[in-house]
Amino acid sequence: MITRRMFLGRCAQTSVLVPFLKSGLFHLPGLEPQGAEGRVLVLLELMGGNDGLNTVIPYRDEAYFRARPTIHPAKDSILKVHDSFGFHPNLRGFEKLFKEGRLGVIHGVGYPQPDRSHFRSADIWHTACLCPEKQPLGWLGRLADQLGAHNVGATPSLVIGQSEVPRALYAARNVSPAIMEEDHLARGSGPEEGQQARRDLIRALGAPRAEDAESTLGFLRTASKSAFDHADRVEAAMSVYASTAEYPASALAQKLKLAAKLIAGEYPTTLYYLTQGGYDTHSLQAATHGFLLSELGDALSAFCQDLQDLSCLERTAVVLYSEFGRRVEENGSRGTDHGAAAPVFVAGGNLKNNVIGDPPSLEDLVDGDVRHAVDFRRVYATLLEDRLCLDSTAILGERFERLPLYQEV
Amino acid sequence: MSDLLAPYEPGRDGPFGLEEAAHLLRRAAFGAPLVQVREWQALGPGECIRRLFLDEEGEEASALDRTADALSELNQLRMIQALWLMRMKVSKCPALEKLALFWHNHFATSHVKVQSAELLWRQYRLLRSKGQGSFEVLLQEISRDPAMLIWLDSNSNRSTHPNENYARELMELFSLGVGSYSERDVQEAARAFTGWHERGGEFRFNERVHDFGEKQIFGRQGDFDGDDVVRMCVGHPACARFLAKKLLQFYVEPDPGSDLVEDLAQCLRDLGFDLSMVLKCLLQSKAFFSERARRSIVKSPVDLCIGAVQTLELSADFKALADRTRELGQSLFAPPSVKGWDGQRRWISSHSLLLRQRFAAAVSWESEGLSSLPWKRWSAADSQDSRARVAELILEVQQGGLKEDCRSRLTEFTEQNQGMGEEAVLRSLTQLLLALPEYQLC
Repeated sequence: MITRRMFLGRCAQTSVLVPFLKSGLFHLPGLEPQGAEGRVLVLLELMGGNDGLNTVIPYRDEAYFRARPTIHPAKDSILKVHDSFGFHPNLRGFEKLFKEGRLGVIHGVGYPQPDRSHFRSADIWHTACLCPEKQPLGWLGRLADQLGAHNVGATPSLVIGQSEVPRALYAARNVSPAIMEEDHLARGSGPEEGQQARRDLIRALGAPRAEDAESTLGFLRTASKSAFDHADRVEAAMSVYASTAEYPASALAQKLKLAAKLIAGEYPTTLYYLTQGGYDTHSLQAATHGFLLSELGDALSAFCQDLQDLSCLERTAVVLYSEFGRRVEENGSRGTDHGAAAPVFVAGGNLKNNVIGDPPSLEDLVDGDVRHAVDFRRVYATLLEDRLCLDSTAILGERFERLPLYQEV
Repeated sequence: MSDLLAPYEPGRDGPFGLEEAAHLLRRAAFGAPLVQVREWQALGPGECIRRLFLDEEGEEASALDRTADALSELNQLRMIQALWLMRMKVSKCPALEKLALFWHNHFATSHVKVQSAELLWRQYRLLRSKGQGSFEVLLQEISRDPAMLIWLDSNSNRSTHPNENYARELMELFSLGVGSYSERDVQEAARAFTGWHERGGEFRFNERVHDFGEKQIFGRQGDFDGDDVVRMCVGHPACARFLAKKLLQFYVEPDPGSDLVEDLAQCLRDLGFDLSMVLKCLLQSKAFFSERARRSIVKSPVDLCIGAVQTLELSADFKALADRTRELGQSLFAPPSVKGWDGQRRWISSHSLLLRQRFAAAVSWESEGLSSLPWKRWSAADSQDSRARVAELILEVQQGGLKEDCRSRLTEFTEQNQGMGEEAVLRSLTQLLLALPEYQLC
């Protein structure tokens, strides 16, 4: 029997199993109902359009300082982690992770003919489709459907900290539970007296029965069972977590802590989805953006450290992205307007290269925006192929060249 | 032609009892309190249906419209969501609200792109007022609806660069369905709609960018304009079948057989696509009252929330209720895409089921803006026997359709928990009933 740990080695290093896995038949005996060998993807969406240029700063490029006269951080405060770029001064957390080789920067990620609508651009990222009106399902939803088809009873995806399921997780079959906080929904409601008894009775009366297995009622009964089971598993996973790691008090850090608990508790989920909002910085950007970035950097570094200490970081990949970056030129309100390509960050284990591409040129602009160098779907393909050992074309509909993040160039 | 659409005749085809009347009211509208269901039951199906579609909404609903006209200018999505939900509750003609909901899902237009509560409310008024008339007229008006024009990029549809978005959805989602037209038809139809623009919240025919040239659509040639295209779509053999299937899925059963679809399609053609006549025929049919159709549809979040509010005569904070339906996956005026909500099994997730259970608790224990549960009336009922008590409550809440073993477990629960006191027992039972899988079915 292939244990999970053995499998971890094989998937990453040998090609024997990979073709087999890519055929989608990875339902091997002994395999946990997670992604291949317990690997997880944590997607963190920076909502509103993060200003990539003030996040990853081309500090050697005078054109940057000219375009951002009032909102560039002081030159000597920029965290110069690389010859060609540095991080925003508030990103100490990123600096630490980057230096330890646990954070990768992919420059200039976007797509052709960028859309400057938040919604439409987010839809494009969520569906991995340049024409999202034609694709009702999200790319992660399609992935979750595939994962779920091979692991009946597992929970392929989970939304943390918000009740709305993001479009990325819209699926044909899979249902994404959401967890708002530790003390979550399933504990029941109504007055405490009799709460457990009512809950038990709802659970018992709603249990699946052989006679209506095929009917809609049967479907609802199965869903009811899985909702209760899900709630139990969350509770069980939570009780496994025994970390004393300190997380910042921010909402984002607390959401990541919840994810860490579930990952460490081996909750049977491959995809975690979280968001941090507030990036639509049209005016007086410096303070807001700086605040968001320090929250982000501190939360991410606490999360990665915690997972590292729990020996879970190797099987975790965190992806940070936003629906678009912002204009190169600041506007008249000391802010920036909707732009196009921006950097994507990947944190976690097994990174072989932590810089992909070069900071985009500030001379060669399209409509005032930087040109995209990397199609965002290449990032997805890389995660699907190199982290989850899946055939990315089955999810993305076409082949995208992988990025050399997880392999030697 | 089968007799699936033949009128259901009580006596010959089965009873028209409480369950049948409740089924009709749940599907055609949003359900009704038990006392009302009993009154409707006495009328028989034909008279029920006639009354359901009487277009007399009452003063309360009209007053709401005036409020809405004023408030929609504030461009708050949540406000118009709450107003529509309130209308579903107070209108004397909830069947027409239900039909408007069908059309909202059919011509699914979202605030996310349109960004104007005012225009969306106007679209709703169009669906509400023209939804029970001629389908061709409805399609013609929706083709000029400002929210729709914005939603499907009509302003960029110009003779020099036709934008196919509207023409394609008109065929694919509004009238024919994939496979009944060619790409060429879409391209040519887009030309016919060039210059159908929106300016300042109104339809405007921009002659300068309209393509007056000859087009070839469905194998016919002519200098067609948008109205011609609509007429040709409605006349296309696939149209009646496409619309029939959608009506059946919404009103009768999720997976209608092809016989039934064909019959209703023929009915649509025979009645000249007069929707109120077609619906009356459908709702009075044997197919509608068949065993197969009963409790076969998963309640949408709106059905669930408004249904509970109607059936149990609750007072509600409708803005909070709008938040509930959004959490449960149905944000009115913000469907996920132009395809609308997929509905049926897609309404259900572990999360949404747990939320539905929380809604059950909120109703039963009167929290989250929901109040006036009529538990006092129930407790005043003369029966002291817990078995009869449970049976009566099942009638009030679920209005039929619960298995015997479920009843006995609930009776057992009642007997074991007498110590809680009358009120707590009734509230607990209500919560249990509303949380059951059976209650999620319409």
